[in-house]
Order: sequence, then C-alpha cells, then structure tokens
Amino acid sequence: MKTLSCKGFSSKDQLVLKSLIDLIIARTSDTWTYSDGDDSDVVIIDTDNLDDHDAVFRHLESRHTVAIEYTSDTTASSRLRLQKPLRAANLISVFNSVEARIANAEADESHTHDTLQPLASQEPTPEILTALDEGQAKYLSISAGDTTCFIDLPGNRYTCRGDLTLPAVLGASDRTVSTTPQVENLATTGEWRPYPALRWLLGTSLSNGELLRGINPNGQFKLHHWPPAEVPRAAPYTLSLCALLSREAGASIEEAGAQSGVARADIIGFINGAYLARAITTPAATKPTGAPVATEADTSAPSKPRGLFGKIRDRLMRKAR
Amino acid sequence: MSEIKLIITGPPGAGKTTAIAAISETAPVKTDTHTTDDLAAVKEQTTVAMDFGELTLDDGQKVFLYGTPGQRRFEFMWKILVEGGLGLIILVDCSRPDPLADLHMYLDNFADFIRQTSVVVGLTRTDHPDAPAVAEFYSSIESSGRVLPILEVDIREREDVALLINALVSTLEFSR
Ligand SMILES: Nc1nc2c(ncn2[C@@H]2O[C@H](COP(=O)(O)OP(=O)(O)OP(=O)(O)O)[C@@H](O)[C@H]2O)c(=O)[nH]1
Ligand SMILES: [Mg+2]
Repeated sequence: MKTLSCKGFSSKDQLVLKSLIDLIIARTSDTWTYSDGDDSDVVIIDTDNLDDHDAVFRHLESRHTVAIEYTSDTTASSRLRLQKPLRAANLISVFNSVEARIANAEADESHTHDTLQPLASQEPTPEILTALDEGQAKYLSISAGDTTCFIDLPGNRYTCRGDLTLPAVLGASDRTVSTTPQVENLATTGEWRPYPALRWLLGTSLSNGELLRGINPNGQFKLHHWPPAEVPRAAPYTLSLCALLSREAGASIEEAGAQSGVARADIIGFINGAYLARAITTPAATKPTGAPVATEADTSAPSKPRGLFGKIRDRLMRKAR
Repeated sequence: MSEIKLIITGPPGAGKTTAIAAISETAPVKTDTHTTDDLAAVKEQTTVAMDFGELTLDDGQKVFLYGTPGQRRFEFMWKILVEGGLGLIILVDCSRPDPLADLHMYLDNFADFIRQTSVVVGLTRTDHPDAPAVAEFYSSIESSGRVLPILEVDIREREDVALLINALVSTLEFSR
C-alpha cells in the first residue's frame, strides 16, 4: 500500500483528488490511500499556490519522499508533474511511474531518480497491436497478478481467470502480453463474454504512445462513431477526444492535445483503438505533412465560457452535495 | 448569471423522469399522472408538463435539468422548454416497436435547437431482444454528415446519467 498527501491544494482540488483516488484504484497496480499524516510515501504540491515550493521539494527529497508538482504551468520541468486540472488518466500514469520509481529505488539504491524511467518504456510495444490489426495474431493472453485474461479478437470476446477485471489487467503496470494464431492454444476454462469495447480498450491500454504501423501521424483524424460507453466510463478523458475528432474537419494529434490537455500518448492510444474498431479515418499516407484545414470550426470560440463546462464536469464527478 | 439549462427528451417510457430523479440533488419536481389511453397498458404514470431537477456548481451557479413530456400530444411544450437551453439529451427506448424512427422523430422536431447547440443520444433498455445494435443507429444518421454521440446506458444509474451530461458538455466545448 502507498500513501499520498497534498500541500497547497484548494479544498475543491483536495476533494477531487480524494474521489479520483477511490475511482482509479482498479487501474493502478498498488493500492493507494489518501493520508492527512506527515509521513506519506508521496506528496503532491500545488506549486501555483505555494511560494516556497522549492524549499518544500528539497525537504521532501531529503526525506526520500516522492514529490509531485501540481500546476497549470506547461513549460518543461524535470519534476514529476500532474497538469491542472486533475484528470484520472494523468493520475494513473503518474502513480504507475511512481510505483516504478519506488520499486527501482528499492531494487538498486544507487539509482538516483533521474535515471529511473517511467514504466511505459518496459511495456509491450504496439507491434502486438499491429499484428492484431494485420491479422497475423488473432488471440491474446494477458496476465497481471494472479489473473489471466484471454482475448478472441475476431469473436470480439474475452474470458478471465482470476479476481481482476479485464480493464484492471490491461491497466496493470506489471502485465505481460502474448499472442497466438490458434484459439486452441489458449488455456481457457471460463465462459467467453462478448465485449464490444474490446478493440478500443486494447488501443487505449497497449499502445505505449506509438501509432500503429502504417498510420500517418500528420493530418486530420476524423471519428465516425463514438466508442461504447465502457470506454469513457473507464477513461473519462476520451470524451473530449471523441468530441474533438468528430468535428466536421476532424482534428490533428497536435490540435487534440492543445485543446483537450490530454497527453499525446493517450491520444495515440485512443486513435489506435478507434482504428482497430474501424471507427476513424486517418490522414492519407501520400499527402505532404499538415494538409491545410483551417476551417471555421477550428478557430471559432465556444459561445459559453470554457470555465462553465469544467465546472459542470467537476460537479458530475462528485457524488452528492 | 444566466440560467444554465439542459433538456432531456424522448418517447414515453424512455426514462426522462428516471434520469432526472437519478442525478438531481433536490427531490425532482414531477408532473406525472396516471396514464389513461393506450399507454396505460405499458406504464402506470406519465409526465404531463415537465420534470425538473437541479445541480449546484462549486461557485453556487445552478444547472437546471428539464425533462419534456414524452407523449406527442404535449408537443407544444417542447419548444417552450428548450428556449435558452444549453443542449439536448435524447433518450431512445430500445424496447419500443421502432426505436430508429423514434430517434429521427426527435432529431427532426428539435432540429433548430440542435443546430444551435448540441445533442447526445442515450439508448435505454438495450437488453430487449429486438433492440437494434448501436451500429444501426449510427448508419441511420450517417447521411446527415454529423457525428452524434450515441451511448448505451442504464438510465436508472446516476453514473450513466452523468456520462450523458459529460458527453454533451464535451461536444459543446470541443465539437463546434
Ligand atoms: N427493466 C428495465 N427498466 C428500465 C430500464 N431503463 C429504464 N427502466 C424503467 O423504465 C421506466 C421509465 O419510465 P419514466 O422515467 O417514467 O419514463 P419517461 O421518459 O419519463 O416517460 P413519460 O413521462 O411517459 O414520457 C422506469 O420505470 C425505469 O425504471 C432498463 O434498462 N431495464
Ligand atoms: Mg416522465
């Protein structure tokens, strides 16, 4: 179990943080709990609200506590950072890299945190997704902890052996993935369950920030239909991406990132999922980079202030008043 | 501060009253009465004027949720209720005889409002044996050229009502 506390947070952000921790626990490999104590494993610091945050960081680092900055600043920083506003996906990825840091630091005391990599670099490459897409592989087995899930992609179905759910196994940082061309090779025992969101979920969880082979990254991506509700239920940030990519002119990866604040790796995972589900048009491979697409939709300001939409989202994330 | 209002519409029994009851922080104001005509065979209560619920944002601003009456004989109420609204949620009951036609009826009726704002479609009772697949709904609106969110939901669950509102807010923020 890992404990977490915060410094300099507004009471609203603190509330959001606490409820997010409860929500995302299934997607992190360790169990995280919020603590008001002084000796937590990890402290998140709102550097926009604290003047003396450098001193706070030095103090925490001298105690070997992991310090994470929470800020609306988007310039590069060597610190672990959570971008404002708080989003579940960002929190999950920061937690997973913190888990990796702590594990690595325990394994090798001589490592300084600068040399520790986020866990993403050890994850399976999108080769697996490309193999699935191109039909060389049709069946997957994915394990995390004591759970193994088998996936039959042509059949859009899966079965799990163990206590974890499929999204939890896919989101676990210590999962292992293997493919097989024959369904008979899967040591399944349970009943197959249909799962329409399967391809989307594989994209969002197995992409490791790389587009599937053959997808041109430059130009406009246009979504034809939204994913099944399980996808935004598991990853609320996908709603912004859906809306951006369903514009008449579509959106480029850069536009989607700049306007939604969603991390590039998550945008790429979403695009891969949509591509596997045949729900998206990708830029033509032959076109030169950045086809001119300056449409009105790209430049027109929303008719209501952005702040309102954020406030409605915040309200919906809280259960009751 | 201007009034923020979201409108939920759809055929009788689609779950408008249920949705507002699931998410509103105040006891929803209902105008249900006992059904009298053909509907009585299917449903005990129906909404005659509107449903009303509310959410309070962190800064005290209120978001009002209005549910329209489902039956077509109350069509005159629809135009009145959407006046000044931020966006529309259409609920489609997939256990009815022709859910695709139902969707198109509401898309047509609210076309002006949708053009000015945004719309999200929630499919309810999708476990019905004759329920069309989500893909059929998408194909049926393809010719309009517009990509609408169409989400299967259990409208009795607060989380699913929140998902529809979130999707609507995302399209308002990013799709236009
Ligand atoms: N079994 C089942 N019942 C559902 C489901 N979704 C909604 N319901 C029920 O369907 C009914 C919907 O009724 P209302 O909420 O009154 O519908 P309405 O849209 O307000 O109808 P009108 O006011 O007549 O226009 C409620 O009794 C819900 O509990 C579902 O997925 N399965
Ligand atoms: Mg009603």
